[in-house]
Amino acid sequence: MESVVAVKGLNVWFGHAQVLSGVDIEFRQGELTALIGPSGSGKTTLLRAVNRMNDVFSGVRTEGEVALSVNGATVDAYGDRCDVARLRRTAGMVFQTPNVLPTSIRQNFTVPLRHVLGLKKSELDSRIEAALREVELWDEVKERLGAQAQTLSGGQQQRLCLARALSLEPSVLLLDEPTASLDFRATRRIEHLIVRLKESYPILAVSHSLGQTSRIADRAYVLNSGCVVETLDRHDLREPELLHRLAEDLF
Amino acid sequence: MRRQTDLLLAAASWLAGVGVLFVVGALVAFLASRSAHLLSAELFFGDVTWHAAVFGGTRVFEGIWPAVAGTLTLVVLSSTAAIPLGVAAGIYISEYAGQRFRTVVTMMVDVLAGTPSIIMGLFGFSMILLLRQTFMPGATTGLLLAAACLALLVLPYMIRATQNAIEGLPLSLRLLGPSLGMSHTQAVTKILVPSASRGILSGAVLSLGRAAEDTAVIMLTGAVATAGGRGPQSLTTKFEALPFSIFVTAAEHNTVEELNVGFAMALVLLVLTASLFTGSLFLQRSLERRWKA
Ligand SMILES: Nc1ncnc2c1ncn2[C@@H]1O[C@H](COP(=O)(O)OP(=O)(O)O)[C@@H](O)[C@H]1O
Ligand SMILES: [Mg+2]
Repeated sequence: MESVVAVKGLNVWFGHAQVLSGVDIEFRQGELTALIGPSGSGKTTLLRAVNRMNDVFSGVRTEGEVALSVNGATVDAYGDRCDVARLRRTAGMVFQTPNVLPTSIRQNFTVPLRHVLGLKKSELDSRIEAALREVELWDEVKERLGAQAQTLSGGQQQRLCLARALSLEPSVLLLDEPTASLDFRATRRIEHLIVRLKESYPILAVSHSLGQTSRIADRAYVLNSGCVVETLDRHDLREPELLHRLAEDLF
Repeated sequence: MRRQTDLLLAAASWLAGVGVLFVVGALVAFLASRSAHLLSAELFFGDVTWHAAVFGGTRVFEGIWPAVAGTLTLVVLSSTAAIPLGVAAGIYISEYAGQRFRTVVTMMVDVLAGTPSIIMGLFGFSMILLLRQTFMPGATTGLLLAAACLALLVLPYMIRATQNAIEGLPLSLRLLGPSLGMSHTQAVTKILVPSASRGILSGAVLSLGRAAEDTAVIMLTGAVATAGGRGPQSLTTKFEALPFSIFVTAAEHNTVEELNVGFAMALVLLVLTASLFTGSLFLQRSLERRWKA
């Protein structure tokens, strides 16, 4: 059964400032859905509304509905019965700048695997290997799992973060400009990975570049000042004139 | 212009660094020059063997061992109370307390940190007086009271250091735990506190040093010039301690050689605190290595 996330009538305030107004979006397995828009338009906030990461900040108020339908069961992220820790584990998140724990590569996995999933020591190794293979990092790090994660290159760190999210067996992936801090080759590598992963997970990815969006996205929502101002499908995303106009209008 | 400012700043920082080295070096050199000839087992134990003094309970009347033992006991007792309590309070304030409570408690901690140690000593002393007049007529100043007052003295440093270390962590680290589905407490204990351990250590070092050197608190709460030639025998007895003995020696010496013993004690106190610092550094580094590995 296909997984879908549907956001309906979402409003978010930070203090008195309304950051998102009446946002309706949807993203599903098999498609890569991109969020684009000028900086400060609310992309990160929208992404974080899905796994309730905005709640970490004080003074946030959220209204609306975020329904995650996974394997036929639907959870409302803002419903009374939602288990937030579980929701966040279900929605794996990768940040804009690689957010590794300042520990060894292995420990980056063992900390969440042991404490979030409660895995036993004997179950860790195979899980770590599988996750690292999924992001094509295994061959690069298998000899040095004990090395500090911060000694990896930016692209490797970002793949490590992706692997760490995957190791928790999420149902959905939320990626916040995952290639913004990377060079050309590392960017292509992550893009390639994301395209492969969309077959298994519904992916919502903030993108900082229209070029990237038209290259890999199947659908894109354009945000401006907290509102979705345009929805682009695969066909629109291959339309040079439309993209040109968007670039003029937004950036 | 810009270049000159940079150069000037670099020179000033270099001077400051060298200045610190120079002052510490000069201090140690001075202490050593006055007391090097005294440094031997005899300084500590007089004519008693160290084994008999430390393990046999033989009384040492000619040496500084009772004061060394007293200071060590004091530091251990007060840190055992203050460090865990301070770390816990710091974690609570930075991670769990509500905004208003945090403001109030932070102010209280500042007040406590600004309290002169003589006031802390007076507080302990008055508490004994109060106890005597009420339900503990037999209450008297002693080791436990002194350690408790010292703990109170260093508690705010410990709280502040922990709080600052945790609150100073980058936002990205703060977001990491919850984004992986950790509960708040898991994120605090498995990510935030370990990441802040160096800052917490610096608080512990400050506390150990403060507890080892403070004189005003202990002279009102149970330190004496001679406590029968032995280290502390129980939690309620009077005790000797290095800073107080140094103070007494400085105030009452009759000969230069007596004063030199005071300098020797100062040197010993310096070495003692330095060893405590080194010990806590190793402890923190090994905990950190285990977390990072
Ligand atoms: N933690 C926060 N506290 C207060 N305001 C915030 C916070 N996070 C984001 N904002 C505000 O919300 C708006 C949207 O931010 P964000 O979602 O990060 O935009 P984008 O990712 O599109 O650059 C900005 O005006 C920003 O200042
Ligand atoms: Mg953003």
